[in-house]
Amino acid sequence: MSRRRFGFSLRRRGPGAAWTALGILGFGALMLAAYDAVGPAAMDQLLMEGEGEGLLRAIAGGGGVAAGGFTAFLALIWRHPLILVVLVMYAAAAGTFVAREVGDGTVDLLFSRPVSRIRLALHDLAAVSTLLFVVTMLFSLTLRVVAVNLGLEPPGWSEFMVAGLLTFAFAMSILGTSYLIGSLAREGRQALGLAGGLFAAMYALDVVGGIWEVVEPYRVASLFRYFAPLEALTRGDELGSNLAVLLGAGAAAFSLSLLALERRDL
Amino acid sequence: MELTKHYGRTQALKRLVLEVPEGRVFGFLGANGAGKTTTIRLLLGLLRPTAGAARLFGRDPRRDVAVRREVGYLPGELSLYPELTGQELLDHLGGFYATTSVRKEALDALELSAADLRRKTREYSSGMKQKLGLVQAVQHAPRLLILDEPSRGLDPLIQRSLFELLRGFHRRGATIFMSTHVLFEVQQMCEEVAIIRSGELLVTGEVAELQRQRFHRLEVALERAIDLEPLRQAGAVVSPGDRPDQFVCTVSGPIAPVLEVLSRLPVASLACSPPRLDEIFLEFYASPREGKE
Repeated sequence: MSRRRFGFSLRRRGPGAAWTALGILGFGALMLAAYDAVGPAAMDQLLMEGEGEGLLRAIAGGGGVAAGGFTAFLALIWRHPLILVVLVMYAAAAGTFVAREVGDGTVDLLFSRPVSRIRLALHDLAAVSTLLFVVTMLFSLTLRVVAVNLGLEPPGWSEFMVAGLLTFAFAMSILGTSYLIGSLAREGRQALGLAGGLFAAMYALDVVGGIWEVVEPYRVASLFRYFAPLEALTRGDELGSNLAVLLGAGAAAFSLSLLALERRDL
Repeated sequence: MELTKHYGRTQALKRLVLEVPEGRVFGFLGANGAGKTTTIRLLLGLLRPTAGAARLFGRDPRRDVAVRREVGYLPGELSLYPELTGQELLDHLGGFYATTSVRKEALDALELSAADLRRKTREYSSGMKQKLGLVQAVQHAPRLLILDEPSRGLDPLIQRSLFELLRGFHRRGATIFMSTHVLFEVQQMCEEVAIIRSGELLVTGEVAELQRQRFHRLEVALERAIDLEPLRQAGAVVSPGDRPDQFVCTVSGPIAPVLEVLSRLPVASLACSPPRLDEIFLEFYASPREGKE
């Protein structure tokens, strides 16, 4: 691994990661401040008004976990559509880099160098993975620090670590899938459109499957099904299979993307 | 090896056989869409041939990527990373090679200052982008330079400096493969050319040889204007000059019958010059059957 090329990829992907971190950290902190300002009892009543518990559980990725109060609220922040959109957008944009290089016309400049396509993709993957790890763990730890400072009695460090790792694994699964789409698509806009459509469909499948029994069996096909922060925060040590599925899906998609990249015209 | 490339149903390159001898300055000519850029991108391994194979120094550029260390490449449609400064871009691209020993010489020749390099490339004019593209192509002193439209966007003074820089490379033994449709720069720079049309190679050879073989060009002034029909019957194409008693005579076939007719005419002056490259190029593009050699 060339440090110089890794540094270059970090530099190119860094600003996007910084904005992503700023967005999700700011949103998370504001949500916690709102929870503290409204008060736990009033917030619980507000959330459950109109018997919306099932929908909330579906959005929070609760999957059968019976937890209310502050932990459920934390999970709701974690899987809030805004957080998901920002995270998925960053990972999808970074993952579709080959198609975007083709679309931007910079592909000739980079891919005519004396380095294999696979090596270039691996450098990029290493940089984006590093950034995603930092962003997701920072998000997790920031939520806990803010919650403790507000006197909200959050779960322990280890649960937050597991939830952070799960977020990272989820982001990696999105990234790997996006690499595959980016290696198959003709150019950047097409790749982003395909990725956006696919992830929106997966999210819809997960949420609808959470509240409608008929669709429930198909949730296994959605990456969002395995991103279950409520479970992570309540029984963190039992999430090995979710982590394995997300990381496995990401790794498989990335491996396929390397095959596609080797064969494609640039 | 015959090189063929299809894009879906479109045949971009049809059984192209082309060899560029080491150490030569080679011009690759063709109109827009003739297949020049496709050929170059096949050579660099950016495209997969539908049939045949491209070789760089006898090696497959797709499988043996190390051979690209010997190559400097200027893309025709040059796009830079807008968020990088010129310096960062040169450092990053130069980082793929063992040396960037020629960078300073190229920057000086193309008049790119340190202040220019500190600016983000998104602020560059098209001429400055082209200069930076040229520097990145030559900075590692490659054995082979592949330049797609090298003088695009450069003013005449910088063009002259560029040609000087390239001649310097040539003197040091580098091979230069230029794709262009600016025939003037080919005439200035190239020892050999190939002309391609609609993905097919029409002709390849030394510029001087092509000029000698293709046709003769006679500039004639007469003492008085007369009927030129006998010249046409002898096989010449006659184009009128500035005055009625002046004309240009182009002869594709044997020249002897034309000279015989001319000997009977009141010729005041006669100059025989080799055809310009643009005339040869146009001749190939104008006559499809004759062009296929």
